[in-house]
Amino acid sequence: MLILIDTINNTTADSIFELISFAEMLAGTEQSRIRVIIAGENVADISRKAARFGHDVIALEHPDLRFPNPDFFADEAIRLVDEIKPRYVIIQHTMRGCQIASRISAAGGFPCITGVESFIHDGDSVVFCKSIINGKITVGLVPGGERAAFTVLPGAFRVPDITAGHRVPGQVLHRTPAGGPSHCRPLGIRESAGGEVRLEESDVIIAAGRGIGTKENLDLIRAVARLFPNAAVGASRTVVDQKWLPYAHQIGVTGRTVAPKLYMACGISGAQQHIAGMKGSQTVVAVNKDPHAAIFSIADYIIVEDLTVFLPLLIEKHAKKR
Amino acid sequence: MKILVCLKQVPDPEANIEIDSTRGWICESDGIAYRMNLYDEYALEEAVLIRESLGDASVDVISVGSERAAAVLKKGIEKGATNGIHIILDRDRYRSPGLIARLIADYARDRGYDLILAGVMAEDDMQCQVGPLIASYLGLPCAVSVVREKIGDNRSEIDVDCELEGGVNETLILPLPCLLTIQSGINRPRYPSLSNVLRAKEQALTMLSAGTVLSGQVETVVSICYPESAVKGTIIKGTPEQKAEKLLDILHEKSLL
Ligand SMILES: Cc1cc2nc3c(=O)[nH]c(=O)nc-3n(C[C@H](O)[C@H](O)[C@H](O)COP(=O)(O)OP(=O)(O)OC[C@H]3O[C@@H](n4cnc5c(N)ncnc54)[C@H](O)[C@@H]3O)c2cc1C
Ligand SMILES: Nc1ncnc2c1ncn2[C@@H]1O[C@H](COP(=O)(O)O)[C@@H](O)[C@H]1O
Repeated sequence: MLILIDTINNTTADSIFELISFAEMLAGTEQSRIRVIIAGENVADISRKAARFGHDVIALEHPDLRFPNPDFFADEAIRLVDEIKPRYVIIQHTMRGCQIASRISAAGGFPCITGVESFIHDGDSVVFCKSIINGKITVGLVPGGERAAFTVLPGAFRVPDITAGHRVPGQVLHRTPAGGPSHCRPLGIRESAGGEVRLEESDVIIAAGRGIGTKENLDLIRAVARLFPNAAVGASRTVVDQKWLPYAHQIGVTGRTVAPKLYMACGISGAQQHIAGMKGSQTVVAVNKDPHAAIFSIADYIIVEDLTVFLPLLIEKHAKKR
Repeated sequence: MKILVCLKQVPDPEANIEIDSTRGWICESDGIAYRMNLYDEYALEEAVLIRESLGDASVDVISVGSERAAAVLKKGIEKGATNGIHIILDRDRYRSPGLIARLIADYARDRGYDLILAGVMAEDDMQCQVGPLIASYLGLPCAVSVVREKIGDNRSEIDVDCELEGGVNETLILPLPCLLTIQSGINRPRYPSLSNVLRAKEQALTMLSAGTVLSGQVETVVSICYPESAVKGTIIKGTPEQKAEKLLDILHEKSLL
């Protein structure tokens, strides 16, 4: 098996090593060699770190790989696949991860399954499960043929614990891409502007989704937030895209990651990209009028109700109680 | 400048979606509203904005799908597309992204598109593959999750910001022709203009049959279910008033209020 990892400025979050667990669990009792490919400009450090998990690492180094360069990385990965002939190629589920996985599968004519959350062995085949329709439905897919590429959902597997059990570090090999210069010129990265909202420091986050219907209904969300001593207003991407709230309020993979004591999701469907940013919350309350909303699968308290009816009642009853 | 935009018709995820286990996909019932994939709305708007700024561009929209999918192409014309191309398939079911991408790539090949836009993801199958696959089949450079683009003055390259995770964007320069997948929030999709609505009524779509496409090994759906078994939380029941009171009690108990 091949695990492909890209880096930004030669580093990556440790959570990337979740892919190693995925590969090891997939290998099961079968003797299957796992190799980790790390792409960057100079990735000696991170490669040594990766090798501690006990698998060989290929450090793929080139100046054009200092910032993510999915097409360029994929082209070299295609050559590696031809040489190594892995059973599976494993990548983290990000948009550029999907780009790399698609490109490799197109070149090799083998299937690609993106957003894998779990798998089960079923006789001789392995069934890979992923969400569809905003997390409302789960499908199990079996890839045909000798080879397949996957992108694995971040957080679905744990980073292997190297303190438990002895692992002999793997070897680190250095490799330079054989292809010509890259077509794409990555110029650099930039952090989106932060802003005034102190989401990370709030005990309570009242989050608004598209289900609030209109920008005016944000007042309702704000009013609920005011019931609590230290609460902030969060939002789904949809609300931010509509410009109802600035980007700094966005929670999810492409926004903030928060872990408050209470997260109250109002009119949020519970797409995996949103859940990625709030699943560490201690208590989750979800208010949604759709009983099948995916957010309910991670909620501690489920309220199937129209929020424009429910939230005003919540505010009113609270006022009476005081 | 010739631009091609991929439009997928998807079921509204808010509908009460039921599973058809024998077909391994969702039931097609009258209760489901079908509409344009959200991300494709942004892709189309971006193409129309490019045409408006360049003055001499055409925007074709293409969709692979059942007869019902013609509606999104009409909607595309209403929102400003020049022509609609419909590659007709039979009823909706799970389709390998490789198949869809191959059909679109085969159409686009040799037609001289300078820019192909797709959505970053389809809301129904959530593959995030069709865009990059089309690029691979056509040998085009590709950038995904684009949140800003600007075509160079000489029209030989395009400068884009791609969204990474956690609020980080990457700036890339790609040569044209190329393919971009568009992320939501890049623009504010417009409403159809009356003149385009009238034009969409009159204008015929180009209809093509999918024919037989060879596509190597694929993946097959073996199970489909609701993740409902995963519901571990407490469902708060009662009238809306009772629910509000119960929730307040719980929040008090937990010293959150
Ligand atoms: C690469 C990528 C990155 C992404 N990053 C993020 C991210 O960081 N954060 C993020 O949030 N999303 C992100 N998304 C988008 C994500 O996939 C979803 O589209 C988004 O989270 C949906 O937002 P929503 O739940 O507000 O809207 P919807 O999915 O439209 O859901 C609205 C919900 O409101 C409910 N509702 C409607 N009316 C009412 C009412 N009156 N009362 C109660 N409930 C009601 C509906 O039943 C529905 O469940 C990303 C997507 C991609 C492809
Ligand atoms: N059947 C289709 N017809 C036209 N475009 C499609 C189709 N399927 C996918 N696409 C395009 O590819 C994007 C990503 O889809 P997917 O790879 O299925 O997540 C969508 O946003 C569309 O732009």
